Amino acid sequence: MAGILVFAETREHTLELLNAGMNLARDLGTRLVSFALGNEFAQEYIRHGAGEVLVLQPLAKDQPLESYVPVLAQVVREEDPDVLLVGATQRGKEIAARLASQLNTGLCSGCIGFELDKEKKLLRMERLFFGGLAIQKVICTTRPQMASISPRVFDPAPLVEGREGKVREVSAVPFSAVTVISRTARARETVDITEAKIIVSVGRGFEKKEDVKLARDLADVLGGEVGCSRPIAEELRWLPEDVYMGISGKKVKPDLYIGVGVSGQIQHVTGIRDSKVIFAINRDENAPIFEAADYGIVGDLYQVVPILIEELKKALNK
Amino acid sequence: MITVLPDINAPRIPSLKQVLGAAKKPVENITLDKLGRSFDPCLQTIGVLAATMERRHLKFGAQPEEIGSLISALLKDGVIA
Repeated sequence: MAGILVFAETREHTLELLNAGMNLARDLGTRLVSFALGNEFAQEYIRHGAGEVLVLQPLAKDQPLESYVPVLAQVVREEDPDVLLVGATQRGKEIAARLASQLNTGLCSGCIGFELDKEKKLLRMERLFFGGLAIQKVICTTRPQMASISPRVFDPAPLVEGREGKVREVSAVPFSAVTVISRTARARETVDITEAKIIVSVGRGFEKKEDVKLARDLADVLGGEVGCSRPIAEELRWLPEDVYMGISGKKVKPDLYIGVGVSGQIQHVTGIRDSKVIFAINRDENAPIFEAADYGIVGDLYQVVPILIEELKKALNK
Repeated sequence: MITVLPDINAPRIPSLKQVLGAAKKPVENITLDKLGRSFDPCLQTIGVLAATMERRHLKFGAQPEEIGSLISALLKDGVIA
């Protein structure tokens, strides 16, 4: 049995992987199968492209998501798919790595795209390398070919009304040697930066914590959110870690990214490279951010930003 | 088995005595043969290319008029409203 198998921990991410898998399944003349963490998702996944949905048993309260690894491994051995795509969230990455190890197959983690060699049924997968400076192309010499794909790399699969498919329950029971003894929600101080259409990013060009208000004011005029580069969150702790962008932080895809006093080190740029428009304000005309920017103003942010806010208010009638 | 993040501990700076002492500690090299297993890579790199980005690199001045024309450009791009 061949096929394309997808697994992600959320509904949205599963729809994105279905989109990634749909063309593959068509080109390989094979079927697209999705795992689901509950019956309620089955029909929706089918309408979005899955030919078959495998519903996993619910986790017990004390089981972490990784408990699905033995179950997934068993199903993969039975189904023997050509390709296995896993949603690369923090937990998904771990699951993918463990699966690859159990199945003794190759995994392209953090895959950002692929092309298919139809004849050889071979995926040429791409991922960022050297902290985002380069793109590495890899092929998997074993089967199944595995890739883990971050959220929002692909758009969700489109809805097709009237599609039909099979739903099957996987009877295998999740198991993990780790037991969860308690879960406490982390206090979220901010909104989800990855959802923002406009992001004002705070960089080291800001002199003190109070000045972040300037970025906040700019974001407010535009109806955007404030994010930052890694040092602002991790070293200075001026903003929560939830909002720093970069290779180890959030990967964002806003319509407009405004880097204010952001130098534009490659680790940061990797997190913002999918922005539609990048606009940078920096004192240093040689700052690498200008290489990554559509629009740039060379100037002191303490002079530029207040003028920008005033001009925006005029232009947007606010 | 526990994996830890860098934040779990701030490493201390060893004293000179400790640095010198470290040189005398035994070091055991574990080779692949000793493990008695083979590890064949399952991935093969077929190319490495520089990551490029298509950007317009337009520079504007810091005066109000120039900033105004930048705002017009952003409006035209449809990214602000």
